[in-house]
Amino acid sequence: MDLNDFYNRAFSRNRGLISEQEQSILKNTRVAIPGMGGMGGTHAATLARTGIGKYTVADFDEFDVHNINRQYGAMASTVGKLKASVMADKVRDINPSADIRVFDVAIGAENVDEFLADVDVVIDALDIFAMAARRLIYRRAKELGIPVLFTAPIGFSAAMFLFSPEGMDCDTFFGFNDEMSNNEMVLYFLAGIGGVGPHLKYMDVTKIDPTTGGAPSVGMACNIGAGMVATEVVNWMLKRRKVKAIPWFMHFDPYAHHYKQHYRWLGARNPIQRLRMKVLRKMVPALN
Amino acid sequence: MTMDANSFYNRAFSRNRGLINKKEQQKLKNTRVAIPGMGGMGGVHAATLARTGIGKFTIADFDQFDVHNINRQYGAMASTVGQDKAQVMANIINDINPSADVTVINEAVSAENVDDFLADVDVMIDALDVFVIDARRMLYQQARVRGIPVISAGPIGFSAVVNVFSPTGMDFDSFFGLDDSMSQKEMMTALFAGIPLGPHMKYMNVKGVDPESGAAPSLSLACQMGAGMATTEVVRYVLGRSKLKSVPWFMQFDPYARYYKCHYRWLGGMNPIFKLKKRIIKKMIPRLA
Repeated sequence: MDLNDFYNRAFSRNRGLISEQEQSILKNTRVAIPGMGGMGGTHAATLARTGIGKYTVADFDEFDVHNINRQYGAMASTVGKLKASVMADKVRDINPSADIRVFDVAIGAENVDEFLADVDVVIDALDIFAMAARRLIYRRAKELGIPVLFTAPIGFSAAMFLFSPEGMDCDTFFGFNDEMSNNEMVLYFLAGIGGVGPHLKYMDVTKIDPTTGGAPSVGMACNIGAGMVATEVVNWMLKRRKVKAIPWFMHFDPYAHHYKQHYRWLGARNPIQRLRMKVLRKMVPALN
Repeated sequence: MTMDANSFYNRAFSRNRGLINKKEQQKLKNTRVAIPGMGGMGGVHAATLARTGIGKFTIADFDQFDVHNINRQYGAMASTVGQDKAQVMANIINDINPSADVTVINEAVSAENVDDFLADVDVMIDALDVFVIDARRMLYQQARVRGIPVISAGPIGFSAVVNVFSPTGMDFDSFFGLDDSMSQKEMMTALFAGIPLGPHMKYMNVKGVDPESGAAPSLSLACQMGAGMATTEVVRYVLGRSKLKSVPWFMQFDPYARYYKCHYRWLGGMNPIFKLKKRIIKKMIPRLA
């Protein structure tokens, strides 16, 4: 079978939901995913099985045993190997014609333009604590007119955010500025993504530790988040239904039987959000 | 690897802490989940449960991976085409958790092997092909007799529908209104009518559904969400956490339509609206008539 026949056959069962013409748009779509950890790996695999044809993936890290509870590429056989290379191999095994650019280094000012070259959609799958790289990528993507999707596994739930290049930016939504320390930004970020919802009742937030990068997370929430993000990638590329960008965001928690579409007027300057910040500061001692 | 199997397990699942405590983790390690079917849903279930630290699996599939499975099936890759689905998934489970105890049955589950299949099982996840009816009814009955709950997740368009059958609650036949006198097509119609007439009806082309070839549209992203939801229910059930909603309750999540609903089908298959839906479904899917 040649590569074209393989592709057509591999994604034939998408018909009825994604037409042939739409499938060829997805085949020519390039998705950039910084971070090949808990969310990034599952995003890459889910998009590969949807038939997205082009990837730019980045991670400087290697798989470790404690990644196994949630990271797609983490296995006994891949411990010690570079995350981005392992995931590139997995994507290629799903779709041998996939065009994959691999960055086995961190993304910084020196390589961000190369990382975002020809990209249609960015999915932020950086470590929660990687604030400098996050702000840089969001800012540059906005300048280049590229949307950024982000989902966080929070307890048994996932929250999904879409930053449209025309909409509210990351700094405004989360309340970041250049004077803040990394820990301070992490606090604002956590309050922005998980400051509201039923997970606060069942999740032990005292386990969050910004110095080690450790936060509780389970594989099943990554599945939910990847499904929600892949839905938005398909919709963004195929322009099928109205987009709800930031300050809208969606939160689904199957454990609490809860789904809500939130609208955070003014982003981080929202008065209720400012109150939440104060509460979170008390709840997560490690962040202060 | 220099680490022993116990230390490996403890380290691999350490980041579940804060959501699943050490004692609960030990319970999950000693839980056996049976999954008939290693296709679209079964494979993702197996991998997701393995990453949650479930320690024992009994999995079955008679089939081999083919290229057209790749759009959604966890084990389907260029490198596994032609290989036994159950064996490929067993290898993946063991690579995630080398101490996992995996019983592999490379054949269809039937009345002859059901005793082996359900031996020592705590939870079953129904991941049989949509169009398999007789084996499905037999498995639900046998699980119920043994006091085993059954969880199912169906990828429907961009959505996932989840059912939890508690051994003390409403049974499979009553929920879908099935009995031995019905033809295969009548039973299939009832199973389809059991899917809520949710928002997916607006964007999904159901006319392409063909019970004979076994082809129905399905997406990986819906399988991912279904596995996330089903695994949440396994954890909830095994750990005795609150808010279990078993049949006639069922749940649908659709991020495309931005919709989540806990449905309640009063009387199951005897529900008057459900009966009406069966008639509508027959008209909508020509091949079921």
